[in-house]
Amino acid sequence: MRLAATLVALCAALFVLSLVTGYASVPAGQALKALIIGDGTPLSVVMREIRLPRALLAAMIGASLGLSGAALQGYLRNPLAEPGLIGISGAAALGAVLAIQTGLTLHFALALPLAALGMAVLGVLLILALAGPRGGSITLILAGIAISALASALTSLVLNLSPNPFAAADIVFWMMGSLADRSFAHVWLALPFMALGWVMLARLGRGLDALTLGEDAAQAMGVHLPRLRLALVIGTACAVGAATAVAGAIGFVGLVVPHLLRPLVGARPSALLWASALGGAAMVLATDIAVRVALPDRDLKLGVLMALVGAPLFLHLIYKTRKELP
Amino acid sequence: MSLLSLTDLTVRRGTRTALDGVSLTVGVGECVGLIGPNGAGKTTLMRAALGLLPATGTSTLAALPLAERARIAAWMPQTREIAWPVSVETAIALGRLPHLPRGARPGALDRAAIDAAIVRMELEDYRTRTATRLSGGEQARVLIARALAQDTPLFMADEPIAGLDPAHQIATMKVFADLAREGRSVIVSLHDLGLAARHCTRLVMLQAGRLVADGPPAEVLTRENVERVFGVTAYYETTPQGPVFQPMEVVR
Repeated sequence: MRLAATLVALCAALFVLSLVTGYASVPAGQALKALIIGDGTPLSVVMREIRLPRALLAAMIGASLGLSGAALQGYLRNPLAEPGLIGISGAAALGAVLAIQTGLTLHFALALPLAALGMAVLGVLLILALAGPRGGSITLILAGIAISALASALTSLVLNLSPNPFAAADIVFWMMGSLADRSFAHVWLALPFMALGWVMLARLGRGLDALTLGEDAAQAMGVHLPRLRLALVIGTACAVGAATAVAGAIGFVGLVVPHLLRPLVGARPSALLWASALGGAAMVLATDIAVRVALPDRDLKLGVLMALVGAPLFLHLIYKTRKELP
Repeated sequence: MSLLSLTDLTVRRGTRTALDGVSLTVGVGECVGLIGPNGAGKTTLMRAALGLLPATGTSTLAALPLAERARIAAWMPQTREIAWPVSVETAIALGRLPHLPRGARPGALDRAAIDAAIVRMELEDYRTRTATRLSGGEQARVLIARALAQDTPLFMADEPIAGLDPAHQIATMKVFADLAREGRSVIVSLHDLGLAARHCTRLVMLQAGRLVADGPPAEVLTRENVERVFGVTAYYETTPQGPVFQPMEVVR
């Protein structure tokens, strides 16, 4: 409970900090007042239309990545699993790349996230068809790797054949992952999918706990494995597909956050679910603040900084784990 | 009253028949030892009986809905897996999952079952230790306790005493015999025929997927059966300290 309170307080503090961080340097009190009162001044428009959706998206995306990372690690009983593993983020990225390449995004602002979501749905259908009806985890990993490889090959093909260098540059920058210039339209587009994904993933706790003892033991304890796997895949696809659709690919959150919090919840997969959702939200909020503070004049991409922070953090964790192993 | 009834249970894997038309009934208060050489179908029999493998024929257990089955039979698989560094107590408490409504915390009844399992397996001093850092034999005892905590009328375990020290092998077999005396039933596969002869009330002998003998230990562990199925000769006498069975020489 103390951990929950700490994480909630951390998220709340980072959320407020995210709201008062930005290109226009305004005293924090004044900025928050403009946000709440909404008097039609330019400042209140900035707060309500730019910074609020940005902070909301950071929290939503972080929670989605953390939660699905924890669920996948629990299901696969492998601390190296991460949401990208089942190929949904790769498929969503391909959808976005196609939308940029075909110029759809120039005609219609939401074409990009919609195309990404559409491709994510296609990815899920393919995975479910490939992984087969029984509840095994190996087939799911193999299907995910196949989808990831296919999606990244097609993305490379689009880049390769792109006749338009501007579109190619756009694609490359989009793929780095960012929350700059997002609006409430993005929030409303992502929220229903994410909320559905959160509900589906949050309900897996019991089954994931039982899976600690292996698939056979879990089944004998009354866990319906095919149903659990279906909920896991669809829940992850909803949450991560929507996150990738609005912000591009952001790695390491789903990998590092569950790893970091596992010792603090006594390693129980069910407790790790909510903890990782909160921890993920905090990590993305913090990184999104950092990209604005570190290089305010350059558009430092969220995904780039996340990888820069995440990779050494992960190395440190591996080093620590190595010391504990025989 | 029978807890488990198998009729003509058959499992095919590819072209091989892993289990070939096994029929048997397990009643209340039996401690059934499942014996047979490697690959005889002991694991397959138990998994098919639990509905964990597609099989033809019938098993009363496999026919039950998943949640109800989990309240009737506990299962300790041969693969001893504890995936996360949870405490011993947390691992054992997982056995209560089938009895807990979704989202409910363990109540007094659950705590009592967990404590009883911990006491039975002599794990009092291990409660707060990290399960993944224990030795293989200690982990096996934790997993047996986990299945005991499920508190079911039928307890099934696949080679639970393999890798345990002699004292804990005997103690664990005594726990199984006690469970049977308390009116539960136990089905346990094992390779130690001496312990099987001493502690089981009934032995079921499998060879190449077929049931070849079924009855009290003295009727199953005959010289012919042991020679034909296991390919060994054995010393088997009833002594003042109970039955003694010791495999002696390989005959083929």
